[in-house]
Amino acid sequence: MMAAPVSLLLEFGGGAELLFDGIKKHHVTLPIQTEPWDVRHLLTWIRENLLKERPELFIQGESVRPGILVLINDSDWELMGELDYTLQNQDNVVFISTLHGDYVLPGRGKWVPLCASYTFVQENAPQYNGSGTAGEESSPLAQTFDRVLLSCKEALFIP
Amino acid sequence: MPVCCSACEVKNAVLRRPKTGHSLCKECFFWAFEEEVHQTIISAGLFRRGETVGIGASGGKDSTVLAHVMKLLNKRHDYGLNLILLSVDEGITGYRDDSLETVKRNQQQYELPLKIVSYEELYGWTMDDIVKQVGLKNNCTFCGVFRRQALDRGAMMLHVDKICTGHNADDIAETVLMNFLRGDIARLRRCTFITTGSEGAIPRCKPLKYAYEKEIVLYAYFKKLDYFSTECIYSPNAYRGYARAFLKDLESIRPSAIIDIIHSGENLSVKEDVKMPVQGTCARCGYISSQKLCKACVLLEGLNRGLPKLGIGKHHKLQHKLLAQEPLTEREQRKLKNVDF
Ligand SMILES: [Zn+2]
Ligand SMILES: [Zn+2]
Ligand SMILES: [Zn+2]
Repeated sequence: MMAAPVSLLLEFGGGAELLFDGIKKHHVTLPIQTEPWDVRHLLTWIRENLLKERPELFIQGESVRPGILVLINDSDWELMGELDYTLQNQDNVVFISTLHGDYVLPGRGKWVPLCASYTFVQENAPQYNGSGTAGEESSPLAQTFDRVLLSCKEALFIP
Repeated sequence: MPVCCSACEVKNAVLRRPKTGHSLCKECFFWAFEEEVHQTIISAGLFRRGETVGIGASGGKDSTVLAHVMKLLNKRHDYGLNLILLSVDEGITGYRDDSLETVKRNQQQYELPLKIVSYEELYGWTMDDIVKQVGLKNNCTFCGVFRRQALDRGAMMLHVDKICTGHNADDIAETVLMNFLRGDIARLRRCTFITTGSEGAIPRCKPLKYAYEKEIVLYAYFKKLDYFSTECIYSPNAYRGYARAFLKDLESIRPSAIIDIIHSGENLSVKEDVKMPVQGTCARCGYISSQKLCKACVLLEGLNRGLPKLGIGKHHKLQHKLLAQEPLTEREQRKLKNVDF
């Protein structure tokens, strides 16, 4: 059985809209696919079809970057199953960035490297494999720890 | 599928609170959020009846929520405060226009008087003029220092008793982390204080100190408060960006991390024999400063003398010359003139 097409209203706010040509509201129809559409699939679709620039500022791993709030039909997605929520036709999904300083001059809609040294290191952060956890899946905490180390090194200019 | 509100057990929950894990409906969330701010204000004794309190208003989410909640609590709990909105216009073409418009709308929505002080009034220079002089690469130094002092200077001009700012729990946790990583013990101690600057400077307090950013954003969203979303374009620096990203990562694993970090900062005790820098005041403007001249005055002097690099980096040696209004030598001047754009 094929799932019916899913039409959604996607909204971006809090500065996140600047990654989408400054457009806050997007009416989209997701293509028909065999599996039902969940938020996980939606994020991949957004990345491939809507995101205009700097995807790492919106997506991290398979989820949104921490600090971006998601509301599904005006409810916190944490109450709805987050990535596993199955999207229904006519759903409204809102993404609000809470992150400071996304370094954009308002009205001009372009990334301006005013503070040029700011880059994210999350993208290719290596897996944590120290302290006897070899073979195990690296835990989120270990991954975070790794990122912190990298970040601190970067910030302190340690090669 | 819908989750029931854990407080009233009647309505559907709209959010999960990061601090407590409770699922609340809109009304129960509003009440909990507002009363927690009230508790913060009461337990720290932030205000006294009859005081004039300037609310630092940028048009951003934090200060908009702060203005809204302060107005509401002042009435609900009869604090007896004179509230005014206090905004700073840095003089950046096209930047403040929208946010100042937002503040002006807030003024009408909340029926609070508004005073906008400009960099031109405060320093004699707009941010645009400064960028023309020093280039984009170095302006962070200026925007950081000038911004930090602007509210205080504006408040002094207006004879305000206290300033309150929209700093939230995330901001404070981030500052704790940064000061910890930098090993800045003096700031690490000070940054968790709910009120700062009791001597000389106008006391500043943070009623949203324990309010999570997520809740502030959702409060504004559900209340349909009018705010401007791209705040502080010049302010982000590399360091803050990293600390913020780290904090958000931690929060996504364990939401209480933010409040835990604040508590760690609050409970840090510093050994008696750790040397704390002596806080003096600037000889020229009276602002708190560990040097004879505060950073802003050194930067201004540099701008006014056409030596924009003065104040970027360390130039303690030149302080006495600046104070005495003495000219600099050729060599000193050459060093301070060239700026990379
Ligand atoms: Zn309820
Ligand atoms: Zn900057
Ligand atoms: Zn000074």
